[in-house]
Amino acid sequence: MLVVFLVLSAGVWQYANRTADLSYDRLLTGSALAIIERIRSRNGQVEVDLPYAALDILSLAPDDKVYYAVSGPDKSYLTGYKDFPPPEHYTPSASPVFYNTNYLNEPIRAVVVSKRLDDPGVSGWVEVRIGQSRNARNALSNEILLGEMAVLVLVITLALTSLAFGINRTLSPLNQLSRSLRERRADEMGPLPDTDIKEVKPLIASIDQYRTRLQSNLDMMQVFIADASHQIRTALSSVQAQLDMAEMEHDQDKLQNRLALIRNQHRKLTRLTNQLLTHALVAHRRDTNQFQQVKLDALLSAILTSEVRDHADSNIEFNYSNTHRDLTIDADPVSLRECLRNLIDNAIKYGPENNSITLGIDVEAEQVKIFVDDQGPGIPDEMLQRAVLRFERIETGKNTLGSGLGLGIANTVTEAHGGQLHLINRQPQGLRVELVLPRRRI
Amino acid sequence: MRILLIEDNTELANAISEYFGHIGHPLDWCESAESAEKLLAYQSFDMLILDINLPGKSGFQLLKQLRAQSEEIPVLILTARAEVDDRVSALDIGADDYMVKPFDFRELAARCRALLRRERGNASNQIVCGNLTYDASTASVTLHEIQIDLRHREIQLLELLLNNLDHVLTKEQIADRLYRFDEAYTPNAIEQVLTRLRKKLAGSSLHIKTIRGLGYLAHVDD
Repeated sequence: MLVVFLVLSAGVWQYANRTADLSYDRLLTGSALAIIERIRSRNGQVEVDLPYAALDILSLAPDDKVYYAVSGPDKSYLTGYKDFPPPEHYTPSASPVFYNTNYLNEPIRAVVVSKRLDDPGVSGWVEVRIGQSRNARNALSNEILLGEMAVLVLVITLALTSLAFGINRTLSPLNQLSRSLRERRADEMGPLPDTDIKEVKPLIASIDQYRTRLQSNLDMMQVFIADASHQIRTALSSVQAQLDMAEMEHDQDKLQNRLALIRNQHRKLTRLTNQLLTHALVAHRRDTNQFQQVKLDALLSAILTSEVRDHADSNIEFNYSNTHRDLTIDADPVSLRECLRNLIDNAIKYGPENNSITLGIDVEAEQVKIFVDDQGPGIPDEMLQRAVLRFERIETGKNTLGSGLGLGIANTVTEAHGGQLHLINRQPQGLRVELVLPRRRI
Repeated sequence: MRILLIEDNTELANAISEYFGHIGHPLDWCESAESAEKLLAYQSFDMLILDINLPGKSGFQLLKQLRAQSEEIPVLILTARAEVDDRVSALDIGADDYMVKPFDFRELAARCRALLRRERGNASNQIVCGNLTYDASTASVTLHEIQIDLRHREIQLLELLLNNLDHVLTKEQIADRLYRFDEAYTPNAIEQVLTRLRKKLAGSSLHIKTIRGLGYLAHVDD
């Protein structure tokens, strides 16, 4: 607003000056032309018959001083103020030329006009300079300026007031909204109070939606913590029980048995802790968006290599199936690695001793399927859906370590990548866990 | 036989010390990479058990520094699972083995023994992997201290695998080392050499895994 005001003020100032100059310049021209008309040559002499009426015109500005000078051919002095200055770089011409100068320590507005005499004996340019001090001119200019500025200030004030009023009015529903958000308790659910203003409705709807999502996240978290506490407490109390029994045991062989049981429980607890921490890790990474370009071949072969290394003494056969060695996808490599490692661990734990495990990919136009195949017992068809949920361990009758968190981790990671987790029973036996991921982030 | 344990958790370190004392391998213990540096400067050890997560300089930094000084001492890394990249990068920067906490003490002791034996072997051109010994100077292999007859290519393959323990070798990498460029070989040839080698080494501590679609990986299980 200040800039607009300054630009407009500069414009008004310019306009006032120009208008004042224009009016008083006309008077100056009139006088100059009247004088030059009366310059004649007679008998080889230049004569000036100064028309006092011409100077009278200028007395319309009573406070101003008028100076004039008339010179003949070859700049010879004829009449008036001899040292009244001509403009710089002046070429004689019949049309008047205006200029600003200083005379007797006063700023002067002046005009010069010339006429050519072509009589025998007298030939050349005669010149009339006439100037006037600027008092009346400045007074007029100031008068115009003041008037215009008053209008300008009025307009700007009006604009500012209506703008402030408009903004206040538009924002009032937002103020109301922030007040009601501030006053709400953290556990208070239900939608926010409705509004009549059409423009604000989508905002309120989005906030409500966001709160619903947040709440469902919190609910899931609560269930998760309850499940986790239950599992950890169960494992801990059974270790405690075995320790108590071991303390009372005097028979060496039985003591060894107890210790083996404790070791087994402890292994279970270790795996559970690792999986819980991994789950927390992938959930955190999902919320913080750690996506980057990932070379799938490098990631998958590194995962498989470390799994083979850890199970080199087993009879398990490991396979890798990837014909797209240069494929890159948008993914979070850390959570993808944790997820696949857990799936392979699952396959090893739930599968037979001579298991054959394949890590591989199928590439399609928009998506890539990363799969882990095994030769294990698979999952009963009616339980496929539930198996993806956390802690839904499938009872296959085999006593294995496992918390069922493996598939839960895979589910969280797939969701974070905007993909889907599929469990497929293979023929004649075995399970395929398949992560269907978009190749590029949407 | 001197082992230096670098571990800042006092309880774990005491437990490891006690266990190793029990089985007749007393070990020295210090709490940080900095004090380990001082100890290594004037004493010689046969092996390091190195925790990654240390106060001050990390185990990784110490290991990198040692390898940069071409210090060949065997190093076994201890790492927590939460440090997801540890397992891969530990081997990449020159650790000889790693264990993820929490671990089984019996397993730790077995791995240490394996590393120490392998190291002793290296000095005398011998590579010892549990019950299997390979002598590079005479190109001879013994299993349970009984000499085993291997063909030329089988020996080449065995040496290649022993020099790349725990790393995947692709079929192409193996072919490059086993065959001259003007020698024709079928893709099956390597598989056949490997099958014969596996048969002859049956019952050894060296496991050679085929990862179909990726390559081969040798691992010593003591």
